[in-house]
Amino acid sequence: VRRLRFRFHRPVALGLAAVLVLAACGGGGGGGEGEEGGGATRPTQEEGTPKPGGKITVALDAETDGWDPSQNRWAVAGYYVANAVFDPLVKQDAEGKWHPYLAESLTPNADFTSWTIKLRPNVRFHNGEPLNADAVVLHFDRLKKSFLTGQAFTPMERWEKVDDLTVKVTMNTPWSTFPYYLSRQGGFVPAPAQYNASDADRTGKPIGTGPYMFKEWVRDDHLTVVKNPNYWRKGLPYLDEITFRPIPDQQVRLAAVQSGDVQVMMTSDDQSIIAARKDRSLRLREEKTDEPAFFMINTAKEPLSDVRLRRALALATDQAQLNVLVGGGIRELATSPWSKGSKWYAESGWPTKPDPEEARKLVEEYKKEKGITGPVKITYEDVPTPTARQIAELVKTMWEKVGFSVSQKSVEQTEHINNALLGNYDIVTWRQFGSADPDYDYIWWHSSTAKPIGDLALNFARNKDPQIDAALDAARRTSDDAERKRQYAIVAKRLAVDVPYLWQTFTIWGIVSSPKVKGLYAGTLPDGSPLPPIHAGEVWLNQAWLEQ
Amino acid sequence: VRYIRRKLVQLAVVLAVVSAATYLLLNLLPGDPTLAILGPSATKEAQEALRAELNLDDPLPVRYGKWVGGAVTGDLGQSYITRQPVAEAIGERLPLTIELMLMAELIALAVAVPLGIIAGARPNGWVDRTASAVTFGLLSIPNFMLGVLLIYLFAVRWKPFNATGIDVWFSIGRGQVATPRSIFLPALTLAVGQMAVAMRLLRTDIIATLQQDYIQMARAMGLPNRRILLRHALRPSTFSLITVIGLNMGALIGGSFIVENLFALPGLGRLIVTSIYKRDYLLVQGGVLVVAVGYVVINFAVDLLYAVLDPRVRDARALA
Repeated sequence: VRRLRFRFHRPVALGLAAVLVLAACGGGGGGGEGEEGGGATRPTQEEGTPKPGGKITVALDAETDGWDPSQNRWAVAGYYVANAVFDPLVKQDAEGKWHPYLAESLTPNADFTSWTIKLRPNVRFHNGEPLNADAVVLHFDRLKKSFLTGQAFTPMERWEKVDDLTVKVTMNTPWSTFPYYLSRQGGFVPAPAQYNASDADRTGKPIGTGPYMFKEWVRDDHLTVVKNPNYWRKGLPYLDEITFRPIPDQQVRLAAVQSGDVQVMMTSDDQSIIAARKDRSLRLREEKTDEPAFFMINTAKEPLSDVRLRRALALATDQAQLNVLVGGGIRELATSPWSKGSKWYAESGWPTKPDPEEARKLVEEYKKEKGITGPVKITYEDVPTPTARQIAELVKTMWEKVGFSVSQKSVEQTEHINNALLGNYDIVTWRQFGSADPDYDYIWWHSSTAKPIGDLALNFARNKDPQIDAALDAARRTSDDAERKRQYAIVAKRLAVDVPYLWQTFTIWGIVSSPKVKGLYAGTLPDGSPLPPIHAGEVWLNQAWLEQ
Repeated sequence: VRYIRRKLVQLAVVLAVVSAATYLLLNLLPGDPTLAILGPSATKEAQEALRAELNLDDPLPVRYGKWVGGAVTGDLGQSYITRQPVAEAIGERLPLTIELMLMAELIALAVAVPLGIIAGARPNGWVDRTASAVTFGLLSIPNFMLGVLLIYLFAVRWKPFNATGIDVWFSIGRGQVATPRSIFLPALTLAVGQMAVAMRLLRTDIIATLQQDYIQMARAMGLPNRRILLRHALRPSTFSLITVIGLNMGALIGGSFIVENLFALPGLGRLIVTSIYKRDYLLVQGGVLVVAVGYVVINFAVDLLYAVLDPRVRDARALA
């Protein structure tokens, strides 16, 4: 499951649009600074006044393919670099609300079928080119033409320059959440010169408007950025240089911080988080994400198409035991896609306590009805990692106790995803639904995307529930959060009844840093509103500073 | 000359087989590169368009033929994902991997040769017993664990070395060479396994050589022990050691894949491993080709070295 995290995360995050990891910004730091013209400021109380200067090295969990937002795929690690070199048109605040960022304003028409994007004046790319409507139009051209990002922006029909700083986008359908999509990969605008460069330079040498300018990239070793002295957010950034280093091994990444090679690192590894909690010489900040790990069931395939068997599996699975044995017990148990801290959380009725007796009864009932003697045969699929192996052993025992016979297979990541898409599985280990807004999960849960086995279906579990459909549609039609919350509570309850997913735990992200690095978690938007301290593993380095 | 020519023909055959086999195996792997590139939300249309763009629709032999045609002229194609020319990507990574392997071999020999000689000269002495116990102990620790252990000891507790990554010493083209200090820990991790084998081998051979008649003769003539050992016994005893060094290059290459990932070094092994995950066929193919050439060439060089070390081999080949 652990490996699945970023491997799966990457395709999903991008493919369907910003979908999973929407509100990515991290908290930045420290200092008061404002919009041009002096917006609100938020001084950091406990950390003192930011001082300019200094260099830090940041360890990431993976290398990124490249820096063309229309062609490459950015997982969490990719956004660390992208946030330094580029600026997104839109950014989300700590509450998850969107704010114009590189854009000065985004204005919809009455029915959300067109959006007018006005850009900030006097912003220049690192190569001196101005940020203007032409640059944004070129960016949208590339996004729409790309195999990767084109689908996410399907509703966009026309985009045209109105004046030097204004672009009008016309949709083929009402699209009220368009700005959120511009807060992710598709909203990071590169200089026209980058788009027009050779293939290797287009993906290898990013040119943005961001607080740091690209200096050099040695793939799999490091990417260095240096301070942009002409950054449009006056007074920012504080650091002179940041070096990003992908260090794939979790233990070694932590060791790199402990040894002082690296000053900031990200991890979603429970053992590393436990180790960092014990190390008093380091700073650790944890983020409980809304991204659950779970077992996903193919509800279109015999025998688990029978809901009684799915319920039996749920009742046979000891969530708490798995959490302790595999992750050290530090995670929150999931009962729905939303954790207790989420504003979308609602009681779902999911059984967190196992009840093997009841489970056995359900299996017996099924067997009697179908005239089956012997255990019910199912196949469990995961990816070949040590953690996945441990989990497989545990669940196999739990499920076989109540009358299943479980054969287990491990497949490589791409095939794992492929099997899910095509419905070629009984039950698989999975991690998903970490998006900032539940509407982004529409496509994973709505019956319109549940295709028959053998067809590509985004509703991987192929669960069809008219009540879920109705709730998802109703939530999409309104902007009233209270009403939306009511609708998503229905979704949570129905998912507990239909059991397409056996909920497990919520991933925890940890940021481990040297105490000398300040201002990591107190970033602000130009208008002064706070950014989330960490979101889905990302921190905002653009207001970080170094105590010297 | 004839000998070299025959070896070159062998080399060509080996490469043809290796490249065809990798090509075939990669294409047998489950998982579609277009899916790896586009993600799970890829539509069928997008996948098809991308397949066409990447020439994945051509039959396998045709694709292989095109690739060989390019490879012969040094054009190994372009990465599907980074769009970087494969030859360039390999050129960036190769110097570091070669440095890592050379350094590992140097460390291994620097430890194994003196210990092997002493242990061989005094079998079952305390040096022999201690060295055997320690090297075998280390041999039984897998690379990935040993690496983590070394990092904790030498980079976290005491800090003479970097935990990960390299400091650049100088560059060869676009490839980087690390300072000896910054590559020492990974090289040591890789060297440990070699050490034990090399030491044991040298020890056994020295014991055998020391029982030869001419050594007894030298002793009878009253030559000092040290001189007998270093001048007369060492050279004939290094024969199997050299063979094993050549053959062990395979283990070193495999080990470097793990060590490079562990220590986050931008070497060839890391390139190949990440490319496999991304289904970046041409990068994997190019990388494997380079590894195969390297392996064959090294063993070829070892063959030639026999002749240098042992006049009998030279003469026998001249006669043949």
